[in-house]
Amino acid sequence: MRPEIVVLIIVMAMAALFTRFASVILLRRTGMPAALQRCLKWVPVGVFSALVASAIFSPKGVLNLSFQNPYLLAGIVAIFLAWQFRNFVVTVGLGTIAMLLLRAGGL
Amino acid sequence: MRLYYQSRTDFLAGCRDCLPLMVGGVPFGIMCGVMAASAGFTPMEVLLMSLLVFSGTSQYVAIMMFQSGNALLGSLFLNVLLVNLHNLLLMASLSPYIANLPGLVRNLLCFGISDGTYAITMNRIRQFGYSADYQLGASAVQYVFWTAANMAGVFLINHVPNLLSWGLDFTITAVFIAILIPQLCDRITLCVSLAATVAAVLGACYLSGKWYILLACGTAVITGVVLEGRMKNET
Repeated sequence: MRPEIVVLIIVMAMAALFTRFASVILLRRTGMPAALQRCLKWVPVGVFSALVASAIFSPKGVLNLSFQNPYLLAGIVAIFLAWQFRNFVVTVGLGTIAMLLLRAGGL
Repeated sequence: MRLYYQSRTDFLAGCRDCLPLMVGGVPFGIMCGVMAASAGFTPMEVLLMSLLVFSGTSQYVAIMMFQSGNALLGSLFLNVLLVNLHNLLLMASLSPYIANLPGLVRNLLCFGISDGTYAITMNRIRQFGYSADYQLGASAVQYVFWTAANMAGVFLINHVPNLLSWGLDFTITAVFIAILIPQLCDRITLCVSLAATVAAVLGACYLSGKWYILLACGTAVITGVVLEGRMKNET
């Protein structure tokens, strides 16, 4: 195991542990304030939208809305599959195959 | 050694009720192991990561950042924090049941929380009331299956080399799409997602590093709170 990777894993573990323990330890007496709760519930949608959006619309750090962008095309296929089937294996499996076909087709 | 706290029956019921969830969890874990190995993590590193971090989305985000050569510790910490923030909500809703349990049990329950465990524990609360053993059983199954699936992925890659060069870098995006789309089940959530998408694309083009994620999160929170407030006023 490389030391720098171990440090990286420990940093990740600290962040994940904080979110698991903070509510019970810090808010044990007071409970979670309702206002904070109303804000936090939108964070997951925000994070995953951001990760998907940047990966398909600007895969190289610049906006690329053309049909020459295989990430955008495969992304559209995967979004359609996820919406239709709501099944992890179908979305990831067929989405990846779509990408491989696009690559094989020269994109 | 005793795995349960008070009731073995409840512990086993938690284990059993968790098994159907593993149909979705195992492929997710295998894929995570495959991606980690193809990004250059060694088997022992993947094992350590799944044992200590025990969070699929965090591991995918870290692998993505590591791959793009962008794994600065500060921004990694921030991003893992963001993808896990909803744990605060899950634990806040369980904390009336957990806060007064003995230290070790309480810490194990906190450490082992995941979306799946939360879902079946809440279901159990509705039917029979809370049981710490039930939740421990569910967490234990998730933990063991998650680690095993990660390691299965790591060893699978030895038989299918060079996955990344085939364009499998898109696979992580497909994973995120599979997580995101089922959440968009009402108009407000859809609007929040679209607003975050616009913010993320602008941020990814004009900001350095991974700050676009924070920008999109802020946009999502503001949009969600405003739209929900407005809907309440209308009704």
